[in-house]
Formats: sequence, structure tokens, C-alpha cells
Amino acid sequence: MAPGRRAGWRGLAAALLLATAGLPPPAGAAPPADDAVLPADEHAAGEARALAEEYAGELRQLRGELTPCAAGLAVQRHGIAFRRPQGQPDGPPYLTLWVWVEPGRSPAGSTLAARAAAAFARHGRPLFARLLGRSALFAEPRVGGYALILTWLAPETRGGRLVGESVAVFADKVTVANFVHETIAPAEFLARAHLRAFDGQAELAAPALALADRPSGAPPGC
Amino acid sequence: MRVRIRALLVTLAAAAAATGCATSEQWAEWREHSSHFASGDHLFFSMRHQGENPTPRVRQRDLDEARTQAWWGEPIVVRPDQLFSG
Repeated sequence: MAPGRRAGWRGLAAALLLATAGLPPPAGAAPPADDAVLPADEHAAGEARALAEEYAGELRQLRGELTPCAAGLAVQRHGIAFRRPQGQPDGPPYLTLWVWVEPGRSPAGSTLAARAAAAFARHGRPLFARLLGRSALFAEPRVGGYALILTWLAPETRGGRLVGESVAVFADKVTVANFVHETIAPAEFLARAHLRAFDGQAELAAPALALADRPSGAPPGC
Repeated sequence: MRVRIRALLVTLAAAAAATGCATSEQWAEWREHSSHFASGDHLFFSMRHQGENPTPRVRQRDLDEARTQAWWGEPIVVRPDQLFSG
């Protein structure tokens, strides 16, 4: 090959390498909604797996009930499951629902706590009501409580990647029943529940959600 | 010749800088696919989110295309093991 031609190929290779190095990281837009229920054999061995096998129909029905809500929320992959809250490896499993709310946009609020409060005010009670509505699971003594995780897109990307902010609420069954039936105010409910909030994968220390005792007038979520 | 060597060094430095920014998760994701993007739509969506922390602009069409074209590149979000013991 002539020297000039070889130099041309080298130039092309260098240009390609530069172009590749400058490509943005691929960004996905949303989690897939199809495999919403964690398969029984992927549950932790023991009570959680036994519950998943015994109540597979209940989990599928819960998934089915949420299908009409697709415009306002999307169930996280394997977001419906029986799981033990972190730090309670020997405790009873909770019926868990993990959803993305307001797909494609961020709830109103200038801080994560404000956005978490807005998301919870809109979706908290209706979604806990869906969990409570599985009466066979409410009556099942091996189920220790309910966990609801709400995730939404943060208002800014990070390094070209979308970031999900999350609020996770864990509560026993009676506390959830009182909240759903409005015998306790949202603030009282959150005081009795275990609350965690995350900016991406970074946990916020002692998140405080300011919730009004009365509905804000915004339409409730699904 | 000296110019070419300098160009090669600049190229290698740029490549090293770019690869140095990728996390092990991003490398694993990249290796799993035969191309950098799933489609032209995926490329344009990713390009739209470049720069100094731009505001995400995700339309319903993007969500639908992401699902039908099986885009990769997961958002940074809390991991299940941060929330649950099992």
C-alpha cells in the first residue's frame, strides 16, 4: 500500500476513534412494564417465596388492577413482590409495590422532599388502598405490612443519564388501614411509618415530607 | 511525522479520557449490545440529554419507542438491595 494511502486509513481510524469516544452514553427512557410481578422462584427462600407461590393469583390481580393506571404510573420491573424491609432480615415479608409515577416528568417542587411530598400526596393513599384491597393478604398473618415505593424522574440529568428520585414508605397493616380509611391524617401516618428517600442511589438523611391534613384539590392518582 | 505522532497522542488521550468516565456497569451494558444505540430514536434521545445536567425531556412517544425498540441505558435509581433484606 502506498504511504499516502496508509496515512489516509490511519486518519480515518483516528477520526472514528475520536467520534466513538465522543458519543453520549445511551439513555433509556422508562423501565419495562411487562414483568411487573417478581416470579415466585426469585423471591427470598422461606416465607416470602411460600407467600409468592400461595398468593400468585393475588399478585397478578393487583397488577391487573393497575393496568388502567398506565397513563399516570408504570410498575417497576418486579415491583410487585413479597420482600423484607432492609434491616429486618428475620422479620415478616411485606407486600411491596414499586411504581414510577408521572412517567416522563418530575412532580412539582424545588427540593426532593417537596417532590416526594407532592408524589405521595397524589398517589400514596390510592396505591395503599390497592394493596389493602387484597383482603386475603390483609388477613394473612405471615404478611407483616405494606411497602410502597414511588419513583419519578429527577428534574436534572447526571452525566447524560436520567436519574430517578424515590420515596419508600413501610408500614404495618393496621397503620395503613387507618390511613386509607382516613382515621389518621397523612402526617400522623408518616410519623408511624418508616420513611426513606433517595436521590438516585444516594439516601437522604431523615427526610421530612410536609403534607397537608386535607386534600390539596389536585386530583388523586390512580 | 511529528504532527502525526502528536495527533495520535491526542486521539489516545481523548479515548482514554472518555473510557475513564464509564462505570463498570456502563461497560458491562455496552458489551452486552452489538451497537451503541438501539435505534436512531435512541441516539437522538441520548443526544438530547447531553451537556451540563440538562432538564430531562421525555415525551410519551419516547416511552413508547423505548419499550418497542428495547432501548438500554437504565436511569440511575435506588437498587432493591438498598431497600430490602430479601
